[in-house]
Amino acid sequence: MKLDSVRELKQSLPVHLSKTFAVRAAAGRTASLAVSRAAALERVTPSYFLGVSARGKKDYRLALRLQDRALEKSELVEQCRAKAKGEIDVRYVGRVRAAAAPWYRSRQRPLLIGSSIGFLANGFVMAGTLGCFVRSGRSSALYILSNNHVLADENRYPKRGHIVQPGTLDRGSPSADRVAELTRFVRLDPAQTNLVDCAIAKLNPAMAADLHKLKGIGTLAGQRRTDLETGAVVHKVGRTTGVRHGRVTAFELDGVTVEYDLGILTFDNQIEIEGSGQRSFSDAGDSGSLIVDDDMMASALLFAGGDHGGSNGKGVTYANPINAVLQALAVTLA
Amino acid sequence: MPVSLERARAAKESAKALLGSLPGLAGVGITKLGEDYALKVNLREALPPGMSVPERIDDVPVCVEVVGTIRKRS
Repeated sequence: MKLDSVRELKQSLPVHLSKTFAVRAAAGRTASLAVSRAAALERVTPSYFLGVSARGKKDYRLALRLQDRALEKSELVEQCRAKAKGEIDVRYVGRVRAAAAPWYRSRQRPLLIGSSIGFLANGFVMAGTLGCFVRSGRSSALYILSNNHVLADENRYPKRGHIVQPGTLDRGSPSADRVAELTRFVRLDPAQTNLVDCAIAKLNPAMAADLHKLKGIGTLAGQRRTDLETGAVVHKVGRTTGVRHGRVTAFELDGVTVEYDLGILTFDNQIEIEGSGQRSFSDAGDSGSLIVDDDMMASALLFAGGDHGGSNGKGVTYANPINAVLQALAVTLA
Repeated sequence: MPVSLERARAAKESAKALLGSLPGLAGVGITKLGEDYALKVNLREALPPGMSVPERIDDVPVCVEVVGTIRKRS
């Protein structure tokens, strides 16, 4: 068929084949299902769509794409086939959905390092990143490690406040997705120099966690004992940008000024990282990500960044040395 | 003789004292230039005309970079 003929045919069809027809045809095969299911079927309309399919050079057919299996042997297909005089390409394609959220912005059970997490905010939604799992003292209880501003809302969240995974920005349910309770945090202080932005939240009983897997990177091997130096290759997985690789551009940075809700805070002894290739190392929502070195050793906790600078111009990221974080919270890696 | 980490650390303290009142100072740290340790001076924005950061402090090289505004990442 010529392209113009197919186009003409395509234009003529929707007039005769309404969405209602498709829904009825779909529902017809499932008459025994409960009413609620029938209502669900109605929501998926339209159940088919039309297009043009090329068979060869200057040889075209009407394309009919079905979103419901029930339509495959329906009157709809036969009518279209007759109108197209057999010059038709019918295929079942199922439901066409917007791209699904990546795993790190989705619900993860067991809990995974790098996934979305956050506190329950009043009047807004938020999300940061689950850094890793730690233990406190001799107890076997597990805690989530992330930033103060991810788990404790910059000192404002109450002790034992609920932590949800995924965070509410990623549609975490304030009730069904509670996974932990805020235990303690290092206070962020606008009036003094800060060293860390960190907090821990105790996992709810029976909440399973994959303690060492950094999906897309490898298995956490332990804790780096020396500070990262310039040139060290590092990796992280976080809620917004997923897996990113980078390189340390400076260390022992003092007087790093960072904008918070509390105001501008100053941090000493920080690590600066730029992203590899043409990408940034992090973006908003990656706060709390655990940063590992090339040997998969926990090295730093990501907390801040900007959009300028770095040799690729994609901005720089700032992180607290992991030793300072674990020491300040009196915890050890799980 | 290459600049050692110890010399760079000492120079960092001098730099903090020297540059403390610089408008838009966003951090002073340590980096590397080849084999040498060096100072890294971060600024939120370019310095006004007529102002500059010394190329060396206590004979340790200084790298200056505009990093923009730094925000918490959530």
